[in-house]
Amino acid sequence: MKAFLILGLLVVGLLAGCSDNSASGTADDVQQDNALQPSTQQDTSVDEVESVMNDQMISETDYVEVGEMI
Amino acid sequence: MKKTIFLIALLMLAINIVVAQEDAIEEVSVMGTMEGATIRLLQLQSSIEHNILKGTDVISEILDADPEANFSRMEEILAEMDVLSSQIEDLINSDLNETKAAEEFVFVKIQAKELSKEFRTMAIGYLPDENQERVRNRNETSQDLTKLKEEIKQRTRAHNALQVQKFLDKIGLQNDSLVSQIGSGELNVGQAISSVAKAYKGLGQENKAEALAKIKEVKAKAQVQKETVREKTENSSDELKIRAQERKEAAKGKIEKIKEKIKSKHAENSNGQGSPDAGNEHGGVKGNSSNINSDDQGKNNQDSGNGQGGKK
Repeated sequence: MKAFLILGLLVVGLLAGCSDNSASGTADDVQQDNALQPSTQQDTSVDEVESVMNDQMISETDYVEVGEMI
Repeated sequence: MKKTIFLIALLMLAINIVVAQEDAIEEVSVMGTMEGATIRLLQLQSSIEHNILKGTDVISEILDADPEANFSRMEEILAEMDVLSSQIEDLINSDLNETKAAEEFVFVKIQAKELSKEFRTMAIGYLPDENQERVRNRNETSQDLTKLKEEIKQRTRAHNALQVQKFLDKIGLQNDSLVSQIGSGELNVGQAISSVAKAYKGLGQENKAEALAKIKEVKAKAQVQKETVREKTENSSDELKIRAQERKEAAKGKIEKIKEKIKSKHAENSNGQGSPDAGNEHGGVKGNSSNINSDDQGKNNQDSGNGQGGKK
């Protein structure tokens, strides 16, 4: 019972920590994020192309793993 | 206590199935075309055939280490794997669409993994460490398996060349030399993707946006297929039970063939040959050149390989 209580408190604590983090950030941070946005967008689109091509192509070294017999 | 152990075993089995399913679903992203689907199915068949050869060698080793051992279940497993290999051949030669082929791929792969695992557990129980090591170090192959791997290689190159060709068409570019280099294996996947990304970067902003929209369509289509396969194969324990029953029934007709192979492998090992080329009598592997959509054949297809091997 005690263990469940401690576990519950830990989860609540972690969640609170996460929500606190997401709320953090100064005006400077926001400004910095905005400044980075255009180049990030460009990179993302190239990444997207690479990712889609990677999904569509098959490497010659690819194989389908079904596990070892010994 | 017994109930708890049973529940834990059941839970572990369910986790195994889910992990195997997720693993297989990740591999269906290239199965959006019938050629991509065929390559994945052939890769699966190649792995199963390799395991049958290795399994034959394992039983031959057990015969030496423990002549009294009862390995009839292990023979059955190899026969069941042979059934799976034949099923793949039937699938490739049938008129399935890509999504159905992907779904079948997942089901066959889960079964092959379960059978390999069951075999391995038994093999480790029968063989002392040094025998296990000896078998692991022997490279098992056959002429048919080598032929199958070569077919996969050529199809893979043709498939990749076609994917790049399709992409270039989408963004309104033409680069026959790049496509040809991919088809011949001169460029590997990484190099091909870099070239494609470079071509994309060279586009004007407007063309880039248009190209990106088309790329996203391809991505969305692949995602839909993945989700469809996931839906069809999740919670599949009942389906797998039915398939296992049918597989076991079909395997009865293959036991004699497996016994013959073990006998011949054992004679080969006893004569001190233990050669890496384990004979080509493996019945399950045949050329699978039929049933490819003509749309998928592309400009740089089957005859494109020049034996150079990918520069990876």
